Amino acid sequence: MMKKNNKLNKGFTLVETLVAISIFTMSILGLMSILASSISDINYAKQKIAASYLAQEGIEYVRNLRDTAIISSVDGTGWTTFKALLPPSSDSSFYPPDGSTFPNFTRTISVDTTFGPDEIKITSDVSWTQGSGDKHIIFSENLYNWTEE
Amino acid sequence: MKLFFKKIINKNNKGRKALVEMRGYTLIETMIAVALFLIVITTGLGALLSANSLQKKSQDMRSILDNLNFAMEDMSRNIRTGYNFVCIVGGSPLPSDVSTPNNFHNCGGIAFESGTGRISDPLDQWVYYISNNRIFKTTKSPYDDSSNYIQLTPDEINIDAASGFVVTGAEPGDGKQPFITIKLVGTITTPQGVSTPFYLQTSVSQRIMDM
Repeated sequence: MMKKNNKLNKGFTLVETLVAISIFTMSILGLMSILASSISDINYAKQKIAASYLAQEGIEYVRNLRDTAIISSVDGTGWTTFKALLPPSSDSSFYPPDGSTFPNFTRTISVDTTFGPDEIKITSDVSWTQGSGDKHIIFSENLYNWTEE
Repeated sequence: MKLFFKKIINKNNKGRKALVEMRGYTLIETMIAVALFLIVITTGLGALLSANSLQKKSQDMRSILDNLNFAMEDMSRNIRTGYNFVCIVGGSPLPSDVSTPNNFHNCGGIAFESGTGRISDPLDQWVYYISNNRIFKTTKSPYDDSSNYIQLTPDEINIDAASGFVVTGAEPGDGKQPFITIKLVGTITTPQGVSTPFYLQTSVSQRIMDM
């Protein structure tokens, strides 16, 4: 009779309890980490929008240098004039003259001239620090000499 | 007779045994169970509600950011394919004629011939104008009629006075390809009262050769 009663009133074992608690904790932690990452993703999206516009600005600036050199030359030497204006390799100070102070962002424009005399590749790299590391966005565009000397 | 009583006693004992085995929860057990239930439900519901409001906040922020991105994209794309740029000085009354190109820094607005416009028609210019902390756009005249403008940015976006356009090389025959810098500085405030500053800047070089 006593033995029977003990069997009927038996509770959970320690292992069962631990398993139940760990499953519960994991599901709560999963939910919380999704929420936290959604907040930081929104912030990342916001910074990325700003960075991509800055990267595009760098490319537009170099394109403007080319077009200005070409339309201001009368004898077709605009492309040569333009290439002389470019920095030798990568240069983070190669900003457009106006509004070059971007909070938190660094832009590096590099020029690749290995494609031949009438083509260059402009790479605009914008980096910023967020969360645990550096983030980058890289735009590139090839510019051609479409004029005839 | 004796046997009969014994039978009754046995019957009664059986009933008692059954009663002991079928006893329910004590008051303490019930109270502990209810208290545990309440604690779990309260914390769980609190977590669910805060997760829900957090999701709403990020959704709102995301859609406002999309809107800001759209306004910037629309301006840079149309200005890039346009020509004949006119700087409208910020804070001044809207001009009725916006067809004479000029250069200026700190423009509160910009007018230009759109990529599909005709240079012979001075009344088909497009205008972007920052006023009252919002960006406005019009694609038709009269340009000095504010009811003609549509609002590009929602009320949740507050555009600062530091925003504007910088126009260089717009005057004809100056030997420069037009270059326009667009700068948007301000704050986003979601309906829940979360506010974040933003800083967007881009530049565009006119695609059509300025010859």
